[in-house]
Amino acid sequence: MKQKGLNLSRSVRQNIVLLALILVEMVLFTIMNGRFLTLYNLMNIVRQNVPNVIIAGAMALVIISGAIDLSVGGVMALSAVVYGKLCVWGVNSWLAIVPVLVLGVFIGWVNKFISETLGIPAIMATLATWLASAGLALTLCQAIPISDPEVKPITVLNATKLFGGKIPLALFISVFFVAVFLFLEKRTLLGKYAVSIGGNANAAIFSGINVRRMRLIYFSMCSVMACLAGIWQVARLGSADPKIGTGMEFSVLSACILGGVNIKGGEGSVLGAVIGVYLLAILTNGMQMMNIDDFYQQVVIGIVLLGAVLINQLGSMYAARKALLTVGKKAAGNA
Amino acid sequence: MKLTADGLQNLTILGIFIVICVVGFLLEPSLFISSANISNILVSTSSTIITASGVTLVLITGNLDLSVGGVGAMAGVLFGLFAKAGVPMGLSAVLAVLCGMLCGFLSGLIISALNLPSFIISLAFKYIAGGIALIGAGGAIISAGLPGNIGHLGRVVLGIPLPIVYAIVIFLIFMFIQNKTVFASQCYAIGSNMGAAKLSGIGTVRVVSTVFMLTGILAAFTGVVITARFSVADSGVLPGFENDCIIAAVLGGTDINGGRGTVFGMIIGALIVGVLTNIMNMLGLRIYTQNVVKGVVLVLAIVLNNTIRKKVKV
Repeated sequence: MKQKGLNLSRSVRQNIVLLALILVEMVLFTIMNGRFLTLYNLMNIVRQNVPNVIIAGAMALVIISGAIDLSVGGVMALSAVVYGKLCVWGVNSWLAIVPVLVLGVFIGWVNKFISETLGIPAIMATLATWLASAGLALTLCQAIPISDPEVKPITVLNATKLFGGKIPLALFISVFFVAVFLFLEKRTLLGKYAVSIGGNANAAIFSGINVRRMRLIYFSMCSVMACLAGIWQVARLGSADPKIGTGMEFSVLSACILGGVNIKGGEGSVLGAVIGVYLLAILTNGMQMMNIDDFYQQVVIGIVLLGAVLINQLGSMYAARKALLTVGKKAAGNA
Repeated sequence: MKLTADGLQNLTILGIFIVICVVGFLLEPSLFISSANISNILVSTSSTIITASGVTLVLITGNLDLSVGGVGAMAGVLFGLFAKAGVPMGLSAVLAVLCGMLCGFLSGLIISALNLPSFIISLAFKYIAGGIALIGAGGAIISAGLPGNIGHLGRVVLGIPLPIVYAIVIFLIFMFIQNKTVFASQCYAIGSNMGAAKLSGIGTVRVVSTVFMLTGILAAFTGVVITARFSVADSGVLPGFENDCIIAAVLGGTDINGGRGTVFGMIIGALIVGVLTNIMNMLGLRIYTQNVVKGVVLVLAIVLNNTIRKKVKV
């Protein structure tokens, strides 16, 4: 029996709905404010959301695999401060990126060690690393942003514009990392393993997947991307500010959930998470253009997150019911 | 004599508590033992004890409440706003606590009725409530225009600060709830095996929403008391409060996977956090350095719990 109409998978349909929502948002904000739909503003959105986009891909994989990483905000701050310190100590501003990335792998290992080896739920484990890394970042620089001239060379990343000074490098960086994560998800085993571990970790172990090693990979990817995001913020601000990561875990999580990643694991896509980032980003930007206070934005984003979780859950409950009904009908047909 | 896991846990953390107190005494002999300092520790711990009584129950049902800091701040600011608008002080406090109750109830209802992970829902409520606090206070504090009797709830009576009295009363109530009521047994049942609890006829939605509602009430009450204590409604109050409550409960032997834990253990855990913070303050450690220590303490506490559970099977 063939289904009527377009036979699209749930995630594709979800992404189409999200893209439509983005379109609605853009039309709405364009009507309300003429300055919204300008190349400058759009590129601004892209530039502001480089950290969110590059973390979201990795975070999506972590959540799909049934874990969670709350530590990204702290890791971002820590990486920025460590990077700043390294620069001040005289390390070349490009070479300094390498030890920071090693730090990211290390934090990923710590997350995996606490959650897998010590058997502590990932939420608690990463809550602890979040507290520790954010505290460490503030301690290292005594809560004062590092804005010595030694950290300035990296700002060239933010300032570079291509195509006649119109398109910032940020766009290409975002596209590059999105492409990398899409590749990792679709063309390597990382994506498939994440779904199977998140769907049923025990079944994954019995089918020969090295769950501990995969968790190490996912957590490290997430922390490394958080470190890169931290360095990007240094490039954007020209100073290593220990507060840059505040609320980061919240906005990235919200974006992932908006993008249809199941918070319980086993379901979701990198592309959805990326679309989720821009959905939130445009919402925030539009509200800023309308001069709505930051505080209201926090409430709105909280409500959006709540709504997204509810809709996702209701959607998957509905899908499960429909699947059950189809099975029932088939059984009835056979009998 | 054979000890139960809970008994061993309580003895262990009591030992840790005494060791920490001795260390504090050795570091600052004259300062640490002074009555001003002890009362200071008790007053600051009272907030944790009040809210963590509820958080312990939440953890026992196998859930997590990350919203208490935000709800507390919201209630504190709303209390100030109501009082400023001319509502009688007592009524403002009740209204603020009701708002906290609503937050808790809503999050509990969404979590249990739709079977959603508690941390994400409570995280959303943390930001919503925290945002309301910021909006209410305009991102700062409300100090002007508050009525004179705003500090009534946090004053010192007969040499004992009222927050300590509240903490003791609430602690006793929750000891009673935990030990003597069917409700608590239902919480334990839900935490150890949700499916089995449902099949044996426990209204999981009712129990979980009630637990979250109680926690919302307590968190809001904490916020109100803090506003009263300082006679200032501060939108940035209680940062990292949810971590303190969870650490206190976990130190007290509450299993983060649910099904185990005691309110009595929590009070020792809260005192450990309070004394540790006090010692770190005396040593001149900044609040952000203290967070590093707290992160490590959280992990160690969970590891301690797991070890005791593995060794003692009673």
